[in-house]
Amino acid sequence: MELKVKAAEGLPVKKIRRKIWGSEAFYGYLFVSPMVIGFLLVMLVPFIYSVYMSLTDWKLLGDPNFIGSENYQRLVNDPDFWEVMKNTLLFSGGLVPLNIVIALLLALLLQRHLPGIGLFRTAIFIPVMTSIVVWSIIWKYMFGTDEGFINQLLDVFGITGPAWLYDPKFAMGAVIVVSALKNVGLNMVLFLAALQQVDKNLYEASYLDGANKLKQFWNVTLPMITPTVFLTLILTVIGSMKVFGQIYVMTGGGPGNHTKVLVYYIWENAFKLFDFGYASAIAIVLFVIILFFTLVQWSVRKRWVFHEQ
Amino acid sequence: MNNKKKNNIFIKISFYGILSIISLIMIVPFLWMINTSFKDSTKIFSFQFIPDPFRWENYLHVLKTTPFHLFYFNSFYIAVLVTIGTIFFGSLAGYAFAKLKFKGSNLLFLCLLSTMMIPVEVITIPLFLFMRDLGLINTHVPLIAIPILGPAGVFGIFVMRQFFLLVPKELEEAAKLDGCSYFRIYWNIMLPLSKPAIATLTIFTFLTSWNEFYEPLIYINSKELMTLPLALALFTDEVGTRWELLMSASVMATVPLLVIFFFAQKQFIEGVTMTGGK
Amino acid sequence: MIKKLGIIFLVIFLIAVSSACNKDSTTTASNDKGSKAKDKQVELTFMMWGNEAHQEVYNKLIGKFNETHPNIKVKMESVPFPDYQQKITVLAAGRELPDVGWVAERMVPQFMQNGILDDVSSFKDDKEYKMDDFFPSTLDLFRKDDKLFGIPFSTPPEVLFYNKDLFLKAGEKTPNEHVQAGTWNWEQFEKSAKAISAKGTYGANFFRDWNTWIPLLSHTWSYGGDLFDKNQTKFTWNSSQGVETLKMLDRMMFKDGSHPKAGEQVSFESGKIGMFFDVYSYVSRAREVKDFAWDIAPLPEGPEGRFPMLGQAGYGLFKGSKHPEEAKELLKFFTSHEGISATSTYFVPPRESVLSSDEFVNQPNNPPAESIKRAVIDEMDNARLQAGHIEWQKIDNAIQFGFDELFGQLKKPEDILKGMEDKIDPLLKK
Repeated sequence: MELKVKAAEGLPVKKIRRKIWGSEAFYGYLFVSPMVIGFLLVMLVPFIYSVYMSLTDWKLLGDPNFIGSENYQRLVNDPDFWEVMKNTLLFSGGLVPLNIVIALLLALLLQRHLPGIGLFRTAIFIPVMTSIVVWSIIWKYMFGTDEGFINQLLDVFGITGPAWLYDPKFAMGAVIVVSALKNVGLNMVLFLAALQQVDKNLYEASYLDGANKLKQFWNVTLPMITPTVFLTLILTVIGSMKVFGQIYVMTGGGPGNHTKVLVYYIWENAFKLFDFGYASAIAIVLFVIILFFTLVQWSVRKRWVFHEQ
Repeated sequence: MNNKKKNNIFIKISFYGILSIISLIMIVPFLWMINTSFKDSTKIFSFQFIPDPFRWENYLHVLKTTPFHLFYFNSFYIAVLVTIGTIFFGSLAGYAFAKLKFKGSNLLFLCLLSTMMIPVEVITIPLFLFMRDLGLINTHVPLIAIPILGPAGVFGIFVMRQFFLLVPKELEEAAKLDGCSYFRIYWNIMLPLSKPAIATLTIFTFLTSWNEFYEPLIYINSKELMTLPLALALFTDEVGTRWELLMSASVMATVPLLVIFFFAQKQFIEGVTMTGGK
Repeated sequence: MIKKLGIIFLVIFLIAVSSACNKDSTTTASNDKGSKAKDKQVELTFMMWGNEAHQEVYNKLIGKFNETHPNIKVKMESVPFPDYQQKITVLAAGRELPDVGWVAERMVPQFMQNGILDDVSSFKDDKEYKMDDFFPSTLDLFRKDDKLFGIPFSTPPEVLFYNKDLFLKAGEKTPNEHVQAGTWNWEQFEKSAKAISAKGTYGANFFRDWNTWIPLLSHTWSYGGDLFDKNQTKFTWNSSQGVETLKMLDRMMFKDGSHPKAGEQVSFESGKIGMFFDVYSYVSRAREVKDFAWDIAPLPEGPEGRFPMLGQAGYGLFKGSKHPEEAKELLKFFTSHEGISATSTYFVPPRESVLSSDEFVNQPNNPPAESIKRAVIDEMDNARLQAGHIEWQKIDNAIQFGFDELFGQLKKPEDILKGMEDKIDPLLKK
């Protein structure tokens, strides 16, 4: 396999030298150009604007005054910011492994052709179809203290459930579980699609080699779908760092500050406290953190992701 | 042999058992939604297996008091356009990033990826000002253009790039030797080979657009231009939420997707197994 | 080749669709300009968070307005209540504000501070408008120096909604019977709440969504305490009265079991709550109750008297309107006797003449007229406005933080209030 890849690389090199027009590079730039233009318009320009705003004291309704790095200094000394940061990392650290492991297991179970499999697939995909607001509202009531579905269920077994969303010990866990349930179907479908593209001949080969199922998964399936694992990993990390909807609906950051995450804090500063300059500064910091995590994953991808040149 | 058969049955039972439990957890909230949608407004938080009184009128009420068909239509056509745009531009760029060599492609890809990293709350204001200057406030254009050119499109690129990486090199090499243009390779070889990925992306993009709340909230003012999620939020006022109406409307918004998914999932998960064999 | 054409067609289609929408908006914009030149036809935007029933009331009202002002077209736009402030903020940043809009109590101080509301004090010069018909306290929120930055349309006092059946079943005197006997005080309230509680039913509930702690202030007020000092420079809830208030809630929640615990979702409509504290506007929801008899009563009293909190919502005239004079006309009409009468179906009118009118009192499924008189009309003079503060959101956050500690039984009431004081005092000194 690898030999062939090398051989293939040699071919277009000569062509590139000929002319830019009509070359591989030309088509490369051409094909990505619509999205690059989009990037400039919807991302880069607003982003630069936000960076500028983070250096001002703009209150959204008045006029901005340039105040240099004051917002960033304030951030460092803001105990709430550090707590919110901790919560965000906690949420991310809880959600990402939970989500990806369950999604992969489900995809392995559901890739089989067995009667009724479509029903299961649909069931697990239902949360993805529901809007995050409605989904969170429903769970908020399921987590009700005495009359909620979960505690009623526990009651049957003689267990008195806690006030899930008002107990500092459980609130974050509850939100993580609800978020995982909401999006596990999404990653599952990505894995299912990837599993379909694994070359079936490889299975036969490994079967002939006498590999058992577990070995087959470890040596054949997993390496072949690493590009998708990489994809879901990056997407889930980014998504979890930007969590907002479920927090907004289920806990409002409470109890105390126990589930207040960065984007909630940004939203609160921007639209509740009208401190847009400060909100922008937090957003830039969040952006840098996510970028950092993504770059780390990106730079080590060659070590474990198949097909990455 | 007999032992193995027993083993098989045991595996099958545990297989269905595990899946049933997981599915149940996923379905219970949905059942709660359906259940509540038929309840009387005074019975919302009382447990009733079958609502009593059983108020299917809630649905009528939603349909009568709001231009629900308009919300439906708006959500639908916006989602369709966003999906088509995302699939096309996303897969085209994804192909370039996965298979074509050009200087700075990795850097460019990371730049595009960063679109997904900035919280939408902070770029709202600059984007709003931008759209205002273009005269696009209270039109559907921002709801269509921003996702295609922004986060949804980038998501599309990423998904497609990762799946194009899975396509064996031999196929395109052969096509190149046949003198196919890069666009032909993309269109005639890459796309047909990535049907599961495209199906997946279609569903995601459609769903994301269908459930998008924030952009309509910011850009739409007139009722007749509203989309479903925004209209759903109108069932909450200062004295609380009309749960039964919110849930009936949510059921109406979700069930069509559910039916489509149920029938489509076979297509995009099972209908393409042949590709791997080649 | 055909496929290629298909794509080209698709791209053209996409561009065409987007430019079509584009044209739409530009043509309407140019229409606006054209009409302005004629100085005849004017379009105003009115933004609100009302539901479709409210919108119906306004449609009729705008119809009436057009009888006298045929040249002013009013476009009504509805925004979901929870997101209203955010929408207004974005619109303000983009200088795209509506001409007239609803403003909720908690938004007003910030909007005034940032100067996005226009002065309407000139209304009082209009004899026909009868500004003195408004209860003076209802205008406090909008007044700053000599200016008036809005007019209220809804000024509901906090009342007690109670489930008559639960009282009957427990053989307890109802709140209204206690009021008549002169024994309706906070001690009695606590006793009654305990007496009517049973498994799954709770004697009382102060909270609508576990963050509406403000009705509890009535308890503190009636014992002579307050949230802040007079000049709003110090947090004074950390007092014996404040501690008593929190202790009462603590007892009811965890000792008597007469108040649901945090996170519990039980509504008054379900019949599982004996007494529910909310502003009178909640009546529009209570009217739908069919399974049990209910009534409203004044809040319990304390040694210093009875002080319900006064809720507020009003209209603001946003700055930057292209047609400020016409917008003023509309606002004037909305808040005239006729306008306030029309909206009194859903809102407690701030005009005295409307409040005592039959139109307001005799709505279908309303509580008895004498209850409305006792709990709403007669209480208007006792009702207190919890004066807003520029930093209200942060103050509210700090207080909510403390209540979360109480809900989780993490700290004693004294320590909780101390914690609030430590956070809030610096905010007030700013």
